[in-house]
Amino acid sequence: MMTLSRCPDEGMWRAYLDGQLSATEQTTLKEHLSGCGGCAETIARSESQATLVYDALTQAASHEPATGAAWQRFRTRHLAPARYPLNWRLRTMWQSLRFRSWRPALLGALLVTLVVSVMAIAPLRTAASQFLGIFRVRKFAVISIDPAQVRNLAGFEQQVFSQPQVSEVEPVEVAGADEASLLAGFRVLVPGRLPDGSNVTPQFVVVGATSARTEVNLAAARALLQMANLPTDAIPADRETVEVTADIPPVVTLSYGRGAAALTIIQARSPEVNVPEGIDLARVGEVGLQLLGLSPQEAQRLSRSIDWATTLIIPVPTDIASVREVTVRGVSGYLIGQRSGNRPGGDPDEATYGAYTLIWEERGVLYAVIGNMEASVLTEVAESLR
Amino acid sequence: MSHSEALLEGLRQGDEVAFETIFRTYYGRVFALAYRLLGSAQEAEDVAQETFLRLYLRPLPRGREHNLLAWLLKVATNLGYNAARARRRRQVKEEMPATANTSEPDPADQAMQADRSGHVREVLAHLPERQVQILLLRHVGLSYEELATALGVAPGSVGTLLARAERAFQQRYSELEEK
Repeated sequence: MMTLSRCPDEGMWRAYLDGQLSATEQTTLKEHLSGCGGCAETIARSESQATLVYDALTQAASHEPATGAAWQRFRTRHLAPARYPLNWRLRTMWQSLRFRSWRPALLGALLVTLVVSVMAIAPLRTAASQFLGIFRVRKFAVISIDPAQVRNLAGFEQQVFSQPQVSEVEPVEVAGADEASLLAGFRVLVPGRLPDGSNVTPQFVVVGATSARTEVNLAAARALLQMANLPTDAIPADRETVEVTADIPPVVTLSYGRGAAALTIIQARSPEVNVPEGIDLARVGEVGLQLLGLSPQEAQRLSRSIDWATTLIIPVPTDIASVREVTVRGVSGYLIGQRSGNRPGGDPDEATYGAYTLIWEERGVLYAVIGNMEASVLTEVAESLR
Repeated sequence: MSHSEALLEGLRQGDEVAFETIFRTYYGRVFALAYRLLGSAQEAEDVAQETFLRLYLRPLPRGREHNLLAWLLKVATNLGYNAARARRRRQVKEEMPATANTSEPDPADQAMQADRSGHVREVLAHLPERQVQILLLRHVGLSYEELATALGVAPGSVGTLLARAERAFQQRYSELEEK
């Protein structure tokens, strides 16, 4: 018989009550209980709480579910009449970021930007850092798309969007996290554990607050949609261009190592984006999704399930990267895994780009950990940030 | 391959019949859990529909064993909890209306039960979401191991978390009952 060196805690007793311990543990605890007044009190208290909760929840009024009717409604709203292939994956998250001056109607022009440019500017590393640098979102949705569509659209973004003008800010190298925090205006986190077990000091670089603007050429956007045989009613007819501006708070980068061992941690509060009013976001989104290769029905269904005011769509060509929703530091995040070797138009310099990018949002700060290492190692680094 | 895994695989491949089977199999339990949190059939159905829509849009990935029921109930708890909190905020200056249970013929019983249900929902809306999750998921019969997987915690910590949540529930509930 196993004996106990000290009294089991309340959690053990709770599990004991539910018979959720191993047979040996159950026996050992039972034995202990017969000779321990303190534990007898603990278990009595625990049992009375458990009973109260069980009874209260059981007695809370119930209601007969109308499954058949519910299924018919689900079908009507989401499935009927056509059968939709599930060849795409939607992922939403990134709640709790706050907009100070966001206006829902503003996103329209931006959306087309996202739809075309994020995809066309291929490298995921760039996409991730652009994401951190340009958009303030509460959620984003990642959809997998056909790489052929990427090639079809490549080059158009330069006609639709002017070269973004970003105010010049010199990156500043600082000595450590404290100084970086002062400049950034939030507490910069540092990993407690590095993949190789070392404890070296990273290079801290802070890019101060900047602003950016781009102009959307609506005539070019219209032409693009016409070429794709898509409706153009979502593009405002009364103007030729719209301007999109963004205020970007400071971005902090921690860099460790070089080459294959390079590890980068990016931290930033989310920027604010302003887009002109008077655009039906859901409609533009729907058309944008069709441009990405979704069928009209799929696009409509997806568009209706997204809050366009706060959701950034990141189209990920299936031959470039895979995307997986993960839990990191107790919140949802995305693990973007780059496939090696076959990136269209791949740049040799990209060899140092991370094989994995882990992105999440925590207390209003966006984080990205980028490294050429196993996903589990990146996750460990993320978990050790403090 | 388990039955629910086979259905999930069908769903991943766009098989609507597989999805319908999943919906019809689990809808009742998802709805019941949402109703317990919200006390309104309409709102409970909205939560249940949204829960299944999420599964439909993003079937659980291949490569590991999923407990489909646990997943659905967890999502429903999360959505229901948020809906309950949102409603509470809207009603912050009003008295929480007790939802009548139409199946009870005796008006006195009915009033008392409606009152209790209101208290249960009131307490749940006050507790942290993690505690609400563990209480509801345990109440519908998930094992500690299933709870650990659904909540992403170590199996050894489930007892402690559950006891803590139950204590928090009891404290608030008793306060309300005494009023």
